[in-house]
Amino acid sequence: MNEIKGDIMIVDDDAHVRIAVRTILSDAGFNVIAASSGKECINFLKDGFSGVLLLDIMMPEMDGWDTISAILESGLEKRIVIVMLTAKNNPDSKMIGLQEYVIDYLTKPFDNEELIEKVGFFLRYIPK
Amino acid sequence: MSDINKITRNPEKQELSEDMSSHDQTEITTLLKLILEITGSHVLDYHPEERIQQIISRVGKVMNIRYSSFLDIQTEFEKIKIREKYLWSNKYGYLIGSDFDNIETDPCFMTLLLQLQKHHPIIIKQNDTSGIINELMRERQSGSMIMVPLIHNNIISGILVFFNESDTRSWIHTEITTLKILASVIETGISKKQIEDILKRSEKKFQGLIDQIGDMYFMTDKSGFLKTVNRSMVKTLGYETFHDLEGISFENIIHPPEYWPIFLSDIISNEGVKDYEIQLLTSDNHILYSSISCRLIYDDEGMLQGIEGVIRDISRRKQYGDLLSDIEWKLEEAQKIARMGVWSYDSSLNLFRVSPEVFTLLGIPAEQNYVNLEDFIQRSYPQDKEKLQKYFPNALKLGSDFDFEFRVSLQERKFKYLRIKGKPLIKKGIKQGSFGILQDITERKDVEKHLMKYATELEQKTLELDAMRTQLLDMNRELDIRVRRRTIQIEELLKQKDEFIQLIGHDIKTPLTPLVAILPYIRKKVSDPEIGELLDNSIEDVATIRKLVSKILELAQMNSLYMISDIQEIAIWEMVNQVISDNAYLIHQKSLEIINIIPKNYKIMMSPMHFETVAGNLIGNAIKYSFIEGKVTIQAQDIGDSIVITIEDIGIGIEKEHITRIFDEFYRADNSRHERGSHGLGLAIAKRVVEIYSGKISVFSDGAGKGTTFQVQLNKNPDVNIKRKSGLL
Repeated sequence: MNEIKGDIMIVDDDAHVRIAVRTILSDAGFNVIAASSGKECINFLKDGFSGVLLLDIMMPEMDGWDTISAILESGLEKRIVIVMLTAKNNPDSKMIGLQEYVIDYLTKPFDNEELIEKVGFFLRYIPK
Repeated sequence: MSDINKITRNPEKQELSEDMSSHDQTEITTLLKLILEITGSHVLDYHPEERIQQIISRVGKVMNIRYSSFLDIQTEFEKIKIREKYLWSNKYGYLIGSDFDNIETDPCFMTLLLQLQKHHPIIIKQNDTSGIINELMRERQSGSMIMVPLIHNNIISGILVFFNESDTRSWIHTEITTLKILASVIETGISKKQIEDILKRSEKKFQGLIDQIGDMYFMTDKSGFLKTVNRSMVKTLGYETFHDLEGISFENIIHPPEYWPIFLSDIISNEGVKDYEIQLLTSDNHILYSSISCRLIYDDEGMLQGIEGVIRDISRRKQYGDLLSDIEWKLEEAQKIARMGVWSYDSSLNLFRVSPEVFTLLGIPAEQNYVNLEDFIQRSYPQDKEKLQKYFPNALKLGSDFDFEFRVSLQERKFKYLRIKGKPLIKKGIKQGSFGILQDITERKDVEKHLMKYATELEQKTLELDAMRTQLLDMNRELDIRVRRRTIQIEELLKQKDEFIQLIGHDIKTPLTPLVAILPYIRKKVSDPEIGELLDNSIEDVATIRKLVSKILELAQMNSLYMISDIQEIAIWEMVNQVISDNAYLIHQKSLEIINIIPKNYKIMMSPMHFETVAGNLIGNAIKYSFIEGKVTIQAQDIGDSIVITIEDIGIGIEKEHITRIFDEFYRADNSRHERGSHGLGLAIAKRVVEIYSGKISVFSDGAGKGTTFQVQLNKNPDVNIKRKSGLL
């Protein structure tokens, strides 16, 4: 099993968003890995990723909530903090019962400073 | 005697007495004779004591009155030989005897006299007249006639009366009066009295009887003067008392007076008249129409005594008669106008009595002056003849109520409608026939025909209308279904629209995310000032797009139900303060004075997010459009169910032409408000939020540069209106 080196994982189907987040957070000194789908995210987790998960809600096939469900099913939630990324202001029915696993929401588009600040803040809660 | 002589004699009276004395004496004698005549038969029939008392009181009065004249007599004592005469009565006032006829021979008188002498100071002697007079004069000082009660054992046994034969006229007159009184008292004997009583009673009865009849009663003497009339006559002719009318000649009450001889000759030639019409004249010269019935009255010997009769006042009857004939005339005219005749049918005579109009209605020629049953039947229209023949005679015979309509033939096969209506004529419980009306109802029939036609048409129309109504109802139902279907479609579309907007929002936001993140990063890496400026512009543009998108999404969300699920009590002052502090940077930059004077206890039920949206937009606007060192005042007022929040600034204001559209989506008032960062949605959003809560939002401004005031009225406990709005979003 490869040791996944990283503090933050950005899960988004949009490549530009992944690039932008990685660029900003890397520039701020974080280790960032990017996943393009929920499935990829699960794989990274299975590979031992630990840190802040920036999880986009709206993704094809498996959306953010499905991903959380899958994480919970696989029991991979222990060493991560989930921050949801959303372009929507309104919640949907899928979130019911899963909200407690979400520590915060970031509405797209978000300010770089806010992102850096929040990620840094939540990272401290990750059990090493 | 001497003191009497001193009294001066009245010469006038003396004169008179000498002239009249012989006549008066005769009268006295006659009277006394009369008294004597009736004496023997008189029997006492009622309370004697009362009578005597009456006599005494009357006599006493006479004596007193005549006192002076008696003195006069005394002075003439020497000249005139006073010849005392007397009479006397028993205790009941009945004459017993007198000296006119040698009274001393009367044993009763003598006895009585003797008795009187023993007990009474007055002594009466036939031949000692002067002595008695003198004694009377001294003792009693009485007048010309002396009446002495004869008292025995304290019981009146009679009256003794003295007269002086030769005296002055007035003295004698008094004498006569007294005698008359006395005689009338004395002569009230049983037989005559009884007869008189009976007469009086029957007279009274008769008077009562004739008074009772309402008609006038009269009796004249043979010269035609009214002798007796009844009260009714007095009253009807307008007199006050019987006395006023009695004694008047009949000639004076008949009108005209010239008619009297004619009337009289009629009476005499016919031995009286019956129901003779005459005119009487009342006391105030009014004519009285009267009917008189009278007869001649004769005495036992067949001599004409007068006229007796009864008169009836018929002036009222005359009046009514006139009135009746007037009414009859009017009725006849009315019948003509109404084309209605009146008829009556006498079943026993099989005869119709009809008013003239019946002839006209049936078309009976004027020369025929009667109407019979055949006239009705013969003149009826052929089709109605049988019906009429069947019912009409029967109805008349049975005397039942009936009401027929039948036609009467006219020329050229035309006809008119008649209606005959009848009722039984019942007199004293016995059917006498029938009576009723005959009326031309052709006009009514025509109207009825027309009405029937209209009614049929109307019915047709109603049916058509009914059909139309049903059709309309069907259409309405269909429309309803269509509308409902359409509503569902629209709702579906609205939902789709919302979802679409969400998607759009997401799709715009997603590419915005890397732009917002990367551009500032690149900016930091660029040192070329020219590129740096270009990047700064790009960053600004991206920020604008970002804001716009988020506002559009916010507006779209107003339609979503879940947004109002967090309604809770909010403290207005606190929330407003929060909004103010959110704007602290700009306030500081513009050196604005923001005053929040909302009472701290004001609370409303609302979603905090919604309140923040409204307050944020309005306060944000006020700040944005304030001049440097401007002032914004926020206050609130409790108006019962609602709270009105007022946000007032002294900033750039709004032109009148824009004020009505200020709440429209994407509307910007003018160029001054059209600046970067303003997207024209804030007020539209605020309005939508307020409307969700059934509140009101309004704006006031006196124009450009004169400041703006927003007012929001929010219900304390709103009945939340979550209807979807079909608007741009």
